[in-house]
Amino acid sequence: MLNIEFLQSKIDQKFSGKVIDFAKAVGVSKQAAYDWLNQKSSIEERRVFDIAFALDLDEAETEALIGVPQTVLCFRKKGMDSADPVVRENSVNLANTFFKIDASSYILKDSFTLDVRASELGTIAKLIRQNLQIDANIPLTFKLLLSELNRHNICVFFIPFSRLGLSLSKSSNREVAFTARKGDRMLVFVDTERTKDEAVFDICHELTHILLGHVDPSEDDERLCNNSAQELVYPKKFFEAHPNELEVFSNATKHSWARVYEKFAQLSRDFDWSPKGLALALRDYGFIGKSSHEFRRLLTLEKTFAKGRKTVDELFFQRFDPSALDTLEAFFSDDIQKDPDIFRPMIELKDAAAFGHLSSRKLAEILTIEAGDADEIVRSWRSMHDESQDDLNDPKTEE
Amino acid sequence: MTQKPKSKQSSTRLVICDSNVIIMMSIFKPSVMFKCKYTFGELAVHKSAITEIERWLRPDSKKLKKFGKPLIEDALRYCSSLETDFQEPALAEREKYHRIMSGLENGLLAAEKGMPTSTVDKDLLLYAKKHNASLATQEQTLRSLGRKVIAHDRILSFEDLVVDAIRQKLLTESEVRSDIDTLTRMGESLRTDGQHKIEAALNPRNVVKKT
Repeated sequence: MLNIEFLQSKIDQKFSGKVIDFAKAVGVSKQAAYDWLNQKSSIEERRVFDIAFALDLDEAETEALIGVPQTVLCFRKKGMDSADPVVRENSVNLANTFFKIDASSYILKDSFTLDVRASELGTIAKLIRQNLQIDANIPLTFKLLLSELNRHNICVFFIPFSRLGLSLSKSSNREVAFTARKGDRMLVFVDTERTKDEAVFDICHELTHILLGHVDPSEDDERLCNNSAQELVYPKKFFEAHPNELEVFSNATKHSWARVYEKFAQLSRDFDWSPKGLALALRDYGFIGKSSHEFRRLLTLEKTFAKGRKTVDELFFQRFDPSALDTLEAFFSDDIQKDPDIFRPMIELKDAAAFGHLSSRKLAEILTIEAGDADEIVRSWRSMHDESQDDLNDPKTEE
Repeated sequence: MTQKPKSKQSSTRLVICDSNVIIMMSIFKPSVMFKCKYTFGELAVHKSAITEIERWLRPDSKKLKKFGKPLIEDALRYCSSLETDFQEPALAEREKYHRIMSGLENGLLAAEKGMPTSTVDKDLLLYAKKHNASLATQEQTLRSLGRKVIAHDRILSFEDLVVDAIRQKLLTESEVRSDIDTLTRMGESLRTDGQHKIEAALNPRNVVKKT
């Protein structure tokens, strides 16, 4: 069903409302065009392209014509600059690929509050916690966050950004996460080159964008999202509820380096915290001073712990190597079976290609491999699926 | 010697062949499939399909491993005579086609599966649309999007071309059956609905009419 109101507005715009000129451009009779506009007859599927062509619509307008909401992206970039146009285009393209594969997927559940007007940090963090049904004094962790988001049908897609052209540089000022929203459908993309603690922070940052309905966030919005993420990962109430435990970090005269190291190691097993994140939170909540010894001690500890912290990429995406086809195939046949939460985007790409909802050339574009190679890989996936179906249908298997 | 691409005659109906159809025709009675005067129109190949097949000759290519060099070279030879100069559209026009197709990839119904395609897929559809031609492809996603961009009956498959050749009595039943076996041995299978169409063309009396 086409959006007739939108169609009429575009005819007004392009043809000054002259239906006869519009009909001519589409290649139908004036009466046929009037019947469409008066909803006396439905528009044949193959005419939609001709209509969009005659009206000179762009992709978003074509979507509006067929009643599909526009895709809106919100980036989290280290360095706060706005995203590079190439990165933005590639990101929209990737998000749209997932949205197009299945129009009924990623629909946010009603219980998740959206687009609220709030500027007070406590209120924002509280609303996010209410949405996720997590108590105020519990720090959000990687595992907890993923399972709660799953419950609301908000998928977090871990994607190797630099390998798929979604970030331009490996250093500072690069995109590390973004949210894609299409009407009531939502996806959060996170770079696999983030450690778990960074990913948790990124996701919480994106959740704040989602809650506040940001479209083109300002620097102030970005700061607010960072502060909200900090409150979610390092909740002030948790600090207030555990003064004795956290005193280790706020009283250097009483506690040795060894004790600080040991205590942080214990906390990092329970929570996805970094010494730097903890230092900033303790500073911002007034437990330690900005240039205090305690603050600098935690920043020094950051370097020690950073060496041992692995990125999502190092933990899970080692065999996602488009330059080595055999390795890439092994990744898609074995690795992605191991954790459906982490590998969901890869599982969706594989299934869509195998079932004919994603062209093998498109898969080749996404994975940056040759079209012929992608075609053969997709055929092998399809035949594997057919074989497993045959096994299921074989009565001998049931015995 | 490289042949000069044919210029498109506006009066000629064309069937633009995707690389996946070209390779199947190269295995399955190429002497008939590339020479047949199809009722759908005259076969045409865009240089993007030829470039794609040429890329199959890379030493590490999966297609090279599957088909071997002689067959790929044969395919290139067969389609070189069909290469057609489609007169490339201006960048702005190409972008206009692409962005509308991108919008239509969503599917018109909420329950409908989408059909994300690549730039090469969209180019093939663009030429078919612009030149009022048919597109012969085995790629399911491209076929789905194609039905929204050009008329349903102008989205063809390798099997449609085989059926046409059977109806013109250019292929015998034993030839068809033996070459389908060859295709299968080479790892190229027919589309299920296409297989039924071929079967119906070989044995028209056995076809059960839909009630």
